[in-house]
Amino acid sequence: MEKKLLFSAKNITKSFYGTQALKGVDLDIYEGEVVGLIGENGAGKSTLLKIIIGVQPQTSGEMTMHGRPFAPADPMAANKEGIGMVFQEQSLIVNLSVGQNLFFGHEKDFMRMGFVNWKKMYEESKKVLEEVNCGYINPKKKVIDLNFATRQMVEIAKVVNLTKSGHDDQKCLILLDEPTSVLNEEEVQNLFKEVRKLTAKGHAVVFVSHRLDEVLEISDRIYVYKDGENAGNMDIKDATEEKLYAAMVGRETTTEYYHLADQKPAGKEVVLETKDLGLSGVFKHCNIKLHKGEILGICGVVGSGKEEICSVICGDEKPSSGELYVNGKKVDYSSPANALHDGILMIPKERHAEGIVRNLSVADNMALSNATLLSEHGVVSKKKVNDQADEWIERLRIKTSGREAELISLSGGNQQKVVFARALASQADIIILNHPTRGVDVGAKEEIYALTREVVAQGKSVILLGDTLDECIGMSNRVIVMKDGLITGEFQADAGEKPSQVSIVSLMM
Amino acid sequence: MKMRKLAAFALSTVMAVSTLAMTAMASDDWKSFKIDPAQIPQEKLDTTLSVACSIRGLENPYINTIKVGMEMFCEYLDSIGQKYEMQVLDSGGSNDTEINNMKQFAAKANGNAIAYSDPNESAICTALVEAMAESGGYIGTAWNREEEDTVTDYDPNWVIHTSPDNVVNGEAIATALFDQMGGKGQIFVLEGMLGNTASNDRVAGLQNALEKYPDIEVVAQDTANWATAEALTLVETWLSQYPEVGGIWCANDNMATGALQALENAGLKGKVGVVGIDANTDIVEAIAAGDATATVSSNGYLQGGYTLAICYAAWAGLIDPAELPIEYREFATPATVITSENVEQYIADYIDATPEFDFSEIWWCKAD
Amino acid sequence: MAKENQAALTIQEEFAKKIKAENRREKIIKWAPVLVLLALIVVFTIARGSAFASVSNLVAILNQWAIPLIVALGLTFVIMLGGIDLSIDGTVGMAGSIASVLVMNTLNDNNFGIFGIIIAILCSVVVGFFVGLFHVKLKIPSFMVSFAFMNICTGIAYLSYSGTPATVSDPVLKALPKVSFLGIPFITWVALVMLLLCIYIQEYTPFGRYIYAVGTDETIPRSVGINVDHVKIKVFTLAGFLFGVAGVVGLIRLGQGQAGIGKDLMFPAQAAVVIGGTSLSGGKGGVLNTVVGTLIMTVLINGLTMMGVNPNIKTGIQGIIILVAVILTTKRGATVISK
Repeated sequence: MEKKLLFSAKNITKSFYGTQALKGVDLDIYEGEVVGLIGENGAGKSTLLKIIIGVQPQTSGEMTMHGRPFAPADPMAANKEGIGMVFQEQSLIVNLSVGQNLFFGHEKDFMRMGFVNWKKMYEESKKVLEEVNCGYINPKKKVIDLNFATRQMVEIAKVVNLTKSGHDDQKCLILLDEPTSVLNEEEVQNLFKEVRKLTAKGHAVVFVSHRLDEVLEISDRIYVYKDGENAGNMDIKDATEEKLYAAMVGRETTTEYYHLADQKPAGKEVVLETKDLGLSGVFKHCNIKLHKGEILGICGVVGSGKEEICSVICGDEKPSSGELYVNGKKVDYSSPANALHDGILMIPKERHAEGIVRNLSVADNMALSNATLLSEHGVVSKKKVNDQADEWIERLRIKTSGREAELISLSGGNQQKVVFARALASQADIIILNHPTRGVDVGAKEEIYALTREVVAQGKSVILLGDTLDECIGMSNRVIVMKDGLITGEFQADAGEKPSQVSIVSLMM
Repeated sequence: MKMRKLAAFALSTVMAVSTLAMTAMASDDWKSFKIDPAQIPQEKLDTTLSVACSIRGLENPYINTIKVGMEMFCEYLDSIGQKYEMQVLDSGGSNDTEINNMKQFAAKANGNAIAYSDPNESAICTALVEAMAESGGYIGTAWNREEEDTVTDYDPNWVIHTSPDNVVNGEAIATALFDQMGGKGQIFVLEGMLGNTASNDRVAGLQNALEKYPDIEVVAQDTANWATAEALTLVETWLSQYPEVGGIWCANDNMATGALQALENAGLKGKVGVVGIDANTDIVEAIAAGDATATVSSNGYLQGGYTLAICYAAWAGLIDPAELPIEYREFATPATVITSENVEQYIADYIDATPEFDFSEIWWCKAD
Repeated sequence: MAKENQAALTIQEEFAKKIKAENRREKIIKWAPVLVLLALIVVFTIARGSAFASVSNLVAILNQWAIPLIVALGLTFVIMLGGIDLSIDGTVGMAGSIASVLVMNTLNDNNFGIFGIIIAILCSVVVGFFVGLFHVKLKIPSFMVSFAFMNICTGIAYLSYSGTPATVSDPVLKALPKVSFLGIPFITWVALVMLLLCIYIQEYTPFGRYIYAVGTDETIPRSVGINVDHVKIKVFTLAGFLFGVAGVVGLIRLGQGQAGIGKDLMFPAQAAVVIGGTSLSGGKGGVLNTVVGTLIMTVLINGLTMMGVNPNIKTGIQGIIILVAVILTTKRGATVISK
């Protein structure tokens, strides 16, 4: 049987503020098929989906739908052409009922004498829900009272209904972005049943997931993206987990890039230890040891619990079980200030939201965490603040017009260096680096790596949440792998004996 | 006492060597002092004088009469050829706003300023005076000040402090109310803003009256913050609890308006006595109609206009406040208790006609 | 592998449990305002018995409830958007003052009757429209724009009667405070009609749905082609209308037009809306919540007045009870970590 091309994207690129999220990817979708889309975090999957649904335009490249050129200005335009998307963050209005959500924006079709005819809308809703085999959902129920799996089905019903509005025989393309991350096994199977029913009618589905077993189970064909490029397109017959892992992981570590020559073996002294640490509903049974002078990498997909572990360690979140020891002493932090007192500091991921004060000067930003150290008789010494700033600007080669420059005027890499300088100046002994190189250009990345090496050489210890797997492996003395809130593996990563990316990815997904 | 002697002493010595074109006079002759425009230097007349009244908010009709008093005085300035600029400083009931307003006004005028001020609360009286004193302008205050403050603390810039006697007024309306009630029965009490001197003094006057009328019982007492709507709500609630009430004592007429409306809504208007202070038009008319019992006219026109007139005389160099006897700097302004007996006359003089004043006789406003 | 799966499931189950617990908490909180109201009624009835629960006091409460209810209804929609409207004191006072000098009154010879009232309300509608317009088009936070308009409107109110408040002499308007139907005072009927109007808007028009949607997440209505700016402007205009009606009702109740009609309405209204369960962050709550919220505030003030609490501490007690009510009725703290 010859397959009919439904959607096609050719050589799509997208750059954000100088960094290229997509470097030219292709995607072909035929009627009646489920296409799996996999790749590491940052490989470009979500970016492509957002371009297809019209949330953001591509920088270059062409798309077609139903054989016609396709360039949606907004999600509505995409809906009209038969493309709908179930977003990772759900797009239902939780205080409205299911039916009101299904027909949100189309209430005018139900107006009668100035009143919305809810009865008719709910009848129609029933039909729409039955179409996706969800007749059991009461359309009058508020979304807030539904569990996540049911909400997911409502989203799918809404998308299906939107994409076919007008022409019943139009074939649709449904984009599912991580639809299973909040579902349990049974609910996932249910979802797959619905997906198969849709494709049996000739509609197509794009399925994005971190869970390889699920992708292998549901897809007819799988695309692998890596660093914004196509890294493979295989039929389900040919796909195996091993092949996919191999395709996903990238370039092997280069020795100079991560300053491997400077990687020293970690000390024996344990500076931080977690015993059976857990945060209800997020992670569990977490046993980690961090040694003096060690870089410990934690790998895992979004939602694996790696970020929350760091939040607990740095005092931002209270654990629901287990214990935390710092320098052999049991601790119980109620705020990051407590943790900082014991020498633990996190450099946050969202630099703009959490890490810096944009309108303060470089010098003041550096002094944020150690103002008390710089003060005399309770008054912050301006001179000490300035001396500190001058020292670090020189040591880290921060490009700025001077210590009085507002932080917002610096480039991303240099802002990150300021944040680093603050961490180093704070005299913390345990530094948690949460994606330190995100949004930073290549040159600055290398400097940040060198800086990190320097930090541990001084006897400090680092927990690293890498932006890429490669970075995590390359920088770390030891790598811990997490999946679904559990530690699934631990690798020594001495210089010259780095574990392979495939071996780690296979434990992540 | 000591101060007064000092002042008298200073006065007599300065008088002797005075180069001012002032007629030497005995202390009680000041009453007949008159502004003589011919004695005002031309350069003073040609200087633009900033004139202001600093008040709590124009929503209160009594306070509005102060503003009108200022306007009347400004007409007088026109008549003698004085250049001026007039301004209303409205604090909206905020201490900070009032102080800031005064500071800006004083700074801008650079000494060529006179102001009437009704300090929002006693505590800020000296802050207002200080703002004016620093710039070299002249200020007269009314109603609220701390007990220990005296005008001689800021010679010569704090020219006068005047106030109708709140205790007397509070007692006068209470007495009128109790007499109408036959000396016995229940009353409601609506206080003004808590901590406000005027309100406290008026309530003290009420207490004095209560001591003389032992059969009058206060069954409900609360603050309505000088506001009509709050008074209405309070009286409405109280009426359902104490339908037998015989009278309502209000610390001002704004609240009396609310009390009357509550009585009207309950069908009790005219059956329950209501008294207030300020002589708002609607209350005066209610007295004429027999719905309200009494109010007091503090004569805002007079307060606003004459206070500025005395300050003007000081600024123009016609008088030196530091040399004045204290009783011409701290005195009570006349107040009229309005009841059914004199209400017709009051309406004829003050409501149907706008009162006229001769602002050249600056101490005409002193009650004796 | 099997063991791993099992453990993983436990984390999933924990997560589900957490969400369930949160939903349960939310459901209890939903009823908390009603319980607070009942508690207040019980306490005051026990303390003041026949006086508090008397017919005449019920009528007093209905009278005192009308204006806060109308004002809070308008504010509810604004807060559901995630906005705030501080213009209340000014717009209400302005509408009442303007109406007072246009109907038959003691200050001038105007006698426009019902048209005077309509003009006054229209002024308030226009103010609401401009608050919305400036907020949306110039991207100024709504609290800033509305605060500015509060002052502007208070100024207009003063100007309208230039110092001497006009007392209404129109015989119909003068009689209205005493009129009641089925034992319910006229002005309360006006408030109830406004309530019905708001229920209709919230529940039976697309616009009502859009308010929730804009308050929840603006991108959702945008993505289906709803003009979010228009929704916002309409909400502020509607609020302006209700504030205008409140001003006229205030005039009828007081019998005299003055800026003071609107004085100190705003913060109690905000408190009532929040206590009723409408979230300041938007998207949650509604007019029925506000009915309960305003009743709580009205009963509280009425009851405390009846208790004869010393005025020096009454305001403080009122504050403490409001604080307790807010603690009991609003959802606080972090929600479940998104996963």
